[in-house]
Amino acid sequence: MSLLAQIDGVVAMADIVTATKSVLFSDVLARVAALLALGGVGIYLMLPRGEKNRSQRWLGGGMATVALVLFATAFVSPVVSQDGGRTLPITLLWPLDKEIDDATCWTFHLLAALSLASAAMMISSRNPVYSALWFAMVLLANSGLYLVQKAEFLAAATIIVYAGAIIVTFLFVIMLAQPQGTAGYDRVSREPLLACLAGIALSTALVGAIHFASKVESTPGAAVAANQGRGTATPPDTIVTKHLAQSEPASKSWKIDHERGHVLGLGRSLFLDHFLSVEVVGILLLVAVVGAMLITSHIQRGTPQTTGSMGDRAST
Amino acid sequence: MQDWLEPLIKIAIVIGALQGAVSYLILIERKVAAYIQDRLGPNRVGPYGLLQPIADGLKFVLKEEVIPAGVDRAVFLIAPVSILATATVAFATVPFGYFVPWPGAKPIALTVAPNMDIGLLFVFAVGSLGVYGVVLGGWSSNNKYSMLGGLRSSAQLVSYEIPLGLSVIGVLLLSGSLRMETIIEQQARTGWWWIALQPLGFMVFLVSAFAESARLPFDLPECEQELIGGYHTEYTAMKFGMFALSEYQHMILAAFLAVILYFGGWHFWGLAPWTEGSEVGLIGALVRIAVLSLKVLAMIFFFMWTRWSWPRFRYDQLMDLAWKAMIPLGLINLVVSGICEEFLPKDDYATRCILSWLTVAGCVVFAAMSVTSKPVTRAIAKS
Repeated sequence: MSLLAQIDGVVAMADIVTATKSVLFSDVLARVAALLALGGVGIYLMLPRGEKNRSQRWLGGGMATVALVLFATAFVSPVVSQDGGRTLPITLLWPLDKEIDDATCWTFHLLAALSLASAAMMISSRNPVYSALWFAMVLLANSGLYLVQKAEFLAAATIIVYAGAIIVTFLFVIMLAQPQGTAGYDRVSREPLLACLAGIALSTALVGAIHFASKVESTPGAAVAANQGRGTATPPDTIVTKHLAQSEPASKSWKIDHERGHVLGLGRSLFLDHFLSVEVVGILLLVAVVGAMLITSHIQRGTPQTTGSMGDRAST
Repeated sequence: MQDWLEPLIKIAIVIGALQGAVSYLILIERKVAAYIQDRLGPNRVGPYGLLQPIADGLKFVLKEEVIPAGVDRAVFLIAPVSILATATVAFATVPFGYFVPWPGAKPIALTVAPNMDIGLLFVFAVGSLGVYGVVLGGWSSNNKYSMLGGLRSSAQLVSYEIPLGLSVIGVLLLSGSLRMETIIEQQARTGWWWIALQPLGFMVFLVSAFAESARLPFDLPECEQELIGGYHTEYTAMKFGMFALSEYQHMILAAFLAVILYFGGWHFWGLAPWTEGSEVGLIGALVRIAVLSLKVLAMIFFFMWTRWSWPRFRYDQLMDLAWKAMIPLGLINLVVSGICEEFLPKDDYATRCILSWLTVAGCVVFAAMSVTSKPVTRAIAKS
């Protein structure tokens, strides 16, 4: 540890302390906490507790929706930025950024709202099959968000692995295990109050952290005013984009380029930069597969055979 | 032109062409069945029965919609929509190449989503969502036979996704891309169709594609003998029509994938100026579409032919085939392809061809040995 690095660290610590103070005492975070608390109460009312209560559920859903809409659109700061003659009121999430066009912004917010609403429906459904379906909806919306961010491979992998395989297996198990309908313990949620409180605390911390990060990243001066209250940070340059930049640029603007590609960059990144991790994960998965096969063969051998003989066992 | 207008027109063309194609495929299927069984087939509506699809379509629309008692209404209505939607969305990346209306103009992509870098992966991702329609339709119908059909078919579809994914990796290694345009262009450039280099992969792909599109001999989702109609027993009128449409769309998609991945897409020998390169003029585009469509039609005819000449599988045989035959074969193909890519020069396709066919021969010999040696071991064990 050199002295220089230590000094750097001390300065950074001081930065963090002052920034934390400003975040803690800013009214933005207080408003966000209030909105998230409203949403949390709505979710609490939606959660299934005991006998069916339809009006309470609708009330909770309405509260959560209002909280979500306000969270995206309410003004968190009186600062108004000039954007090409237009005046944009500063909200926490809307509009996202000056660089992003309107269509992308709308798509993002629609998908994000769909994802959050589906998540709320998932934890508040009484029927496990419905929960699984809402979970699939959450994953679809999330992979849509990945597509908006141009992470196509991640989107496809999410759909294939989660929505296409894991949730189908969930459905399969639920349908096999409960052909007569749902059991009583599936109709009540455990510890709804504590869960909601923990959710409110976690989401407030998350929003605060993003807010804080965007403040620290922004340069002091003119950008501070514009960035105040913005909940989003610009995505950092990833290794994928680094590799994309390495391959040669297209000669003409409309020329179809095959050399530059998202999957190509991802593959290079995985097998050049993270080669060891990929191999370790591969070995881990192989061990898991062998273990699963061992367990099933053990169960088959362990079951008492009523009519089996040595010959039958050898032939199978 | 507006940015959003071009995709909308393409989507309209794709949906319209698919519906038309499906309605006439049903007629073709009945005609092929009649031909194989030495009958005449539908010949009442219009000349040679050519207007039969319109009659069928009217019947779908005009029949009474019955929602049985005790069904889970929301899920019951969502199931056919979801399966048809996923079957249609998968066609967004099926390529017909780029088309330059006049020299120097901006090329028009004859694909709904042309810049999708994940191409094939997108098709698989959307295809893997088709399970929901089957399993939900079976579950929500409040019918034990539907439920059994839904459960069986979900297991079948999920199982066969694995060999399907394994089988195409060889092609991806050869082409070096997931984009279907690039895969076709590689085959057109080299003059080798990947079926010659990936015979084992094609076999695994074909069997898995049959199973994924639930065609006979893998029609366990709706086996008429045991389960009446499987997951769509309780569906009537247009809701049943959606299931039928999606089944045929799955078949068309499987045929498209087989042709694009293994049979050179729009490439055909002797049509060199139109099949090479990525952008062509009007005539080139028409030639490409014609070649690709004819190949796909031939593939679909193969699907229908198989239906009437192959006995069905039992359920345990179906699962054994997936897990004990297709997945090991897919892995063997993957290992051989990987070794070829690593140690052979990039354009040495003849050696690859010989090696892959030797692998097939080895697999056949191994299978024959294990089949013939089975009774012997059993006899020894019994004694």
